[in-house]
Amino acid sequence: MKSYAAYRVKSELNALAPFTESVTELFGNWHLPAQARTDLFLCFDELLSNVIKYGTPLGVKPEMFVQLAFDGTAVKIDIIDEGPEFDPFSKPDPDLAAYRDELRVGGVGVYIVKQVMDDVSYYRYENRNIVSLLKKIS
Amino acid sequence: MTISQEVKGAFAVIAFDGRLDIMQYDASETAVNTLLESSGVAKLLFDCEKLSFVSSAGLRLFMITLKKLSARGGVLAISGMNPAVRKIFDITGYDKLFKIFDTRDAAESFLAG
Repeated sequence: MKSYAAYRVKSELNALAPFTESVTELFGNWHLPAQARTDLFLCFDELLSNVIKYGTPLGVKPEMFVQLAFDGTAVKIDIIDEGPEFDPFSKPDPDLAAYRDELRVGGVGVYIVKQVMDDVSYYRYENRNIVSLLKKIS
Repeated sequence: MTISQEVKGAFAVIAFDGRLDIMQYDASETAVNTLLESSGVAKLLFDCEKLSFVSSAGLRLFMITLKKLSARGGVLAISGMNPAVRKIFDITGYDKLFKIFDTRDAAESFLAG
């Protein structure tokens, strides 16, 4: 049996706390393992903060849509916003050894997402950015 | 997130309790900076025994703090990371940047030595 949930989240940091609270309850209802929950919250922290950071054009309501589906074997998530076209997965993976040598600050958030998810994808549809994530539940 | 701090002679300890994510970043950075400026220490321990979650925002705080301490010729030690937190350090290779200890006692012995 499939379960679905969808959230409309204001595009501002203050909105992430109530969203996190709601999704924590949802993941509890879905009985997701602890590590899977942590991995999914990592993705929200990295990707929703990116949407907030990259802003919203004038005339567009600053909000994001997060859709979640669970079929007992995998969680599928779509994060949708109407901001400027931005593919978070377009950059090559960071050179972690060079980052360490330079003590470089930042630049690893999307890399973490790619490592903890089983599949990630991006597409632009009409005026929307759609980031899709898949996390298998063993 | 609750942050407690203690200066122990030549080094200081900051203990995190809660989630170090994008929402907690600004307050956490302020707390660390205030301690670094007021104490002047070059050696610091982040006690992570009660740190339940870290994202790249948390890693940013660790890296910025390491840079500041390195400029003073110092060191940043970390103790008590749970497996979920440790996983993020391993994925990003940040585990190679810090002096990591299983327990706060072991880290304090190292810093006091």
